[in-house]
Amino acid sequence: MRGAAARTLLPLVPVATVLVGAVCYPALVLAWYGLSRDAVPSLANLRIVLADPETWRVLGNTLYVALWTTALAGALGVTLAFLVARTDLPGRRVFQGLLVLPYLVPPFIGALAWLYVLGPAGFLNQAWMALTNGSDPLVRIYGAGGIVLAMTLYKYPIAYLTVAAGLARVDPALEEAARSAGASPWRTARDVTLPLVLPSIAAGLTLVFLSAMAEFGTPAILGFPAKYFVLATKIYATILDFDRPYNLHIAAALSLLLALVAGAVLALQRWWLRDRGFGLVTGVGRAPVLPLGRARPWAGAAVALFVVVGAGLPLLAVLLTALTRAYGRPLGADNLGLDNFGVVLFQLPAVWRAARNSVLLAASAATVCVILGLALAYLQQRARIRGGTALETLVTLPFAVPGTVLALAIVLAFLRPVFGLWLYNTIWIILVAYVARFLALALRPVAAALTQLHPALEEAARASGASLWRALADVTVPLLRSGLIAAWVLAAVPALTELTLSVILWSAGNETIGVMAFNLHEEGKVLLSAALASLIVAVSLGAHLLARYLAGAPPPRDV
Amino acid sequence: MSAYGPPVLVLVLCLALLSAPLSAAAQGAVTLYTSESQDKVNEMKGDFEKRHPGVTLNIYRSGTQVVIGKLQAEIQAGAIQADLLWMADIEFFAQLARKNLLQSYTPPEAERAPAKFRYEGGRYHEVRLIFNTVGFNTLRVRERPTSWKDLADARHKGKVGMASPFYSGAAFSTLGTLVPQPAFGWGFFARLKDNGVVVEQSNGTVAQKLATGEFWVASVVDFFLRDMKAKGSPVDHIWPREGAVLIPTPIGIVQGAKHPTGAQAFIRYLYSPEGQRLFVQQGYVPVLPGIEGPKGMPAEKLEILPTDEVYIAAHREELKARYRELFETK
Repeated sequence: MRGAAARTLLPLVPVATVLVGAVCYPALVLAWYGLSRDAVPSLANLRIVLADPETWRVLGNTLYVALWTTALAGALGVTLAFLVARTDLPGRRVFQGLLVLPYLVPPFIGALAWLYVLGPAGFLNQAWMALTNGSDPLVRIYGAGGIVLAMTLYKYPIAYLTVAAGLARVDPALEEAARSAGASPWRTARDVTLPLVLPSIAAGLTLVFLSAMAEFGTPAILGFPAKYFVLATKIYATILDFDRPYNLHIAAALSLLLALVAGAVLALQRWWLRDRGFGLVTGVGRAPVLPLGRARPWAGAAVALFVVVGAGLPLLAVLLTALTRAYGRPLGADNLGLDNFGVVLFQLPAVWRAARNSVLLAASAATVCVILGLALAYLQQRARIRGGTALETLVTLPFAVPGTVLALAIVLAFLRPVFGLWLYNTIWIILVAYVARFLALALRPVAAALTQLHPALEEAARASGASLWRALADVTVPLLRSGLIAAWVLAAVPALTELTLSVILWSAGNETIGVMAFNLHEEGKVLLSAALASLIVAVSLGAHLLARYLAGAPPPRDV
Repeated sequence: MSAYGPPVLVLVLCLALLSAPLSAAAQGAVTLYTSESQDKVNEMKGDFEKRHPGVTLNIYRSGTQVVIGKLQAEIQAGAIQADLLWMADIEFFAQLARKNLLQSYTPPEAERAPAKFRYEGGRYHEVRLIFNTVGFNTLRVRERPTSWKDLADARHKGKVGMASPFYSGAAFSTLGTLVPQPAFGWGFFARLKDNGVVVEQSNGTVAQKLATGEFWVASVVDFFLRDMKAKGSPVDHIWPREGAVLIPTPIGIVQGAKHPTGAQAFIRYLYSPEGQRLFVQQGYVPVLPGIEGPKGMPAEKLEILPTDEVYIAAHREELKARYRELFETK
């Protein structure tokens, strides 16, 4: 029996190697850098960080921006989910697809888009200045307000999808019971549906909050010009500030602070949700639909307007900016052309290289994540090893922790060769970071799919004489096919346009497409950056449609 | 086992393709770390590779300070990846020369250029000249500015732009040149702050914002504006009467570079008439005599503010710290 037990635990080897190499080791190195100087333990870095009023101001900014985004995106997400799933909103099937659209736009491109609309030289202000013949912009987008606006409009789909999924899981029988007992539709919604969907709302809000706290792209683009820093951008600035003594150590100390806050929020959510279960799908009966009555056409118009202004307008602005030929000249037919696309596609070989890098990285990382996810899910559910929670934490940590922190940890861990492996300055270090970051995303659908598969099927195969591997290969994996594909897509799509990790980890020849667009913008090549951003959005939309076709359902995404 | 076929194949293929660049690098791609404009340096790469088939140029491009940071990390780790360095920070090159990290190389073409552009015995070179001047938006500013002091003019309050010395080498050189000048000093920058100057990361961003009218006047590098003016944007630049700041943007070969021949070929190309003419096309001022300057360059005798490299070297950290204090804390 010992041999069989040992073979059952074989998947543990690759899983443990990756988790130790890509999560534990970097985490320890990061902690060491934060708590030492010149290879000697020291609290100097922490002291500097905690004593600096700038740190507290930046922490305050981070929480301010994250809380506002959570409140607004949460409100939007819940309202829209209810309207689409529980009322007779006109056109709700169309809206189901359209409302998820902002999710497919990489966050920093979302920020760029709003910059083109509301920036000091953006279309709105240009129109205003032309109208009033003045030179003062109507709207100032740089700073907290702009960051909250951009993040809200691109993160509300997280709340929306979570709550919509929660609503779908509520047993309609409960609502039917209330209705047949005489409650009005609105009373039912308030007293029955809402409490049942509360855990989903809480989960959605937490996800939005963590996502907002971790984000780099939007605060970089809309915060730098106003000198408004959040922790993620402050850490980035500190990493680059090489003239500052012990800058990497201080960056590490700041990272520990950020990780602490994120960890606290996660722990809070876990604790709050520990006694509340999610209602399982039981299927029969349709959820009652609330009639909106006279408000129906207004509600429809409002949601349509929201989609057009919230999602369509910024994307249009990106396209228009991409088509502009000379910056500063008024918008007109003579100032539009495909010149920028020409330069980006045919005169910057780095763009094609970056695209190739991103595609290969995303595909490889997703494949590795799915294989590891399968091994992990198997270990948790079939082999039932002890320490499952520890494994779970290790997997979730690089996802919950802000990307900047993860990137710094990986840089510090692999700055010098480890066991003769030279990772720094190669594309492999980006791959390691992607696997660490997106494993949690891939694990969820795989684990969920595995729970729905009764072990009896595998046991039947084993009883017929198949070895463990044969049973897995011929029975389990084929049955899990759609879950595995969903997991692959879930990990690959955000990896394709990722910026936060690669902006710190890239090197010559190893740019990702996100880094290219960001660098072009930082260089001031706004028009070229807009052209590249348009192409990225088009590819992202295309990848999403392809994924939908392959997996049969819209995959939720989180970066 | 057929279910495993496709995914494993995909993974192996991806991993194989990801490794491909490593072999390409080993075969002789010269690595250049630079803060040159992405599109311009790619143009140079294209022209150079056409004239020198068999040599490929690999470019890592970011703001000067970012590139320096990366290089310093590599120096610390004892593994410099670059063959060529080309950045707007001459003091950093002086540091590298002191640490013996640069190779001396003077191509025959360089002999025709003024000797002052061959630094420290050919360890690093100035291959074309760029200047920090005062730019303005021609639609918003009726009266053509004449001096650096126009940046502190209250009529332009809140509409003045400049690049950050933490990202842009040109901005740092300008800071280091103006501060020790008695006519300017820190007082000049304090007056800029009072006039609501907005600090952007890069000169490119400043130039773009000048074009759209977000800025009316700006301290910005000249060739951006010549470039945009040629394309039709409403911008122009003036040569300040006190003088413009020459922004040294030296290029040098790393000692122990893995591809020295290719690196030398690139420097030869930049000094060659073809290379110099490409520079002029891109709006830069050439160093070779006999090559006509770019359009839009003032024809009169040009006043250049003297830059004290010794001062900058001695006060590097202080300059950054005081700047941070003045502009980054409220």
